[in-house]
Amino acid sequence: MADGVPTWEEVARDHGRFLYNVAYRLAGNDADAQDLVQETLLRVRRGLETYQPGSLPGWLSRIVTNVFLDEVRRRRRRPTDGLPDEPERVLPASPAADEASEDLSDEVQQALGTLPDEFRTAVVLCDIVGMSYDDIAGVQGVPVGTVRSRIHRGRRMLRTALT
Amino acid sequence: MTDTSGPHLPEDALSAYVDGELSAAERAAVEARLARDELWRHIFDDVVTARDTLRQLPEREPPAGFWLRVLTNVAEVAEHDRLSDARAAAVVPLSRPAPRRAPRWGAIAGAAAAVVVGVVVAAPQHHTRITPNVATLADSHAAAQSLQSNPLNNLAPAAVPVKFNR
Repeated sequence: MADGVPTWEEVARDHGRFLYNVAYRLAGNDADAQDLVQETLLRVRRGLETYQPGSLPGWLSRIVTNVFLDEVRRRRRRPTDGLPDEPERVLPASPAADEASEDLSDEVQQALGTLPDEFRTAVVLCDIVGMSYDDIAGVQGVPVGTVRSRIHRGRRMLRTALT
Repeated sequence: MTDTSGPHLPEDALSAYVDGELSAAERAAVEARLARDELWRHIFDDVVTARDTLRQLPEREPPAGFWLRVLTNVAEVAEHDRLSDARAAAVVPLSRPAPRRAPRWGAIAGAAAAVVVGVVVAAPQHHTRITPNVATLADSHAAAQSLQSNPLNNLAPAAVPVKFNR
């Protein structure tokens, strides 16, 4: 790391799991999470020259969210029938995993997936990443009041979906 | 959204309240409303439950081979960019064709495997859940690389382009 600016390999090594978890909560499946992480690391590599040392997780959250929202917009412009994921890319859960915890996590993830994309993004950035409303507004490009509304409505939808 | 409190205290103030995003005056207004409004208390409980549910989600493990695929693909694109930049910068006399430089597949594979090992080693816990063990897999692939073959064929049999698959 030179002058506080990491290489993309260091970002992958030190923040890869964080990136994967945010990407998975946004995308809802491993195949899309892989694409999100991959594209994020490419943007990181190309954008490191302009990176100002500061909150790296915040910067990464902004990039992965932008990649996700770009893809959402792309899919809206060119809607296609949902295709099944390539079987070889959707691997079974680890057999040693805590099954009860996995079930609960899957149930919550499924409920999260029912939220509109903008609501899900706001809720994930707030409750998974821990960003402030101001920062989320910056990422989503909307007023703070809109973020507040999205988070609240998203949580209420999530609660309804889980009951 | 239904405003159950009048024009100055919208319902989403409840989420902002639990997130610490309100001023002191707004917090006092929410607390006063909660003290007298059962519906608001019910909504408040829902908001807190949803928030806690998300915050308590366990860290998720990527599937086996995830980092190997991602990092190999990123390294491959990085190498492609490097070669493109080098070609664009080169000034070559017209009478002499520029020598073709083969992509450094060994370097790509080695770099990807090294980072994969780093990601796995950096994991705070749970890494033994991944089967097969990614670090072992990456090491074995890195050791098997040769100058005569393209090791990416072995490293990333399920490699995908950098885009969503739908």
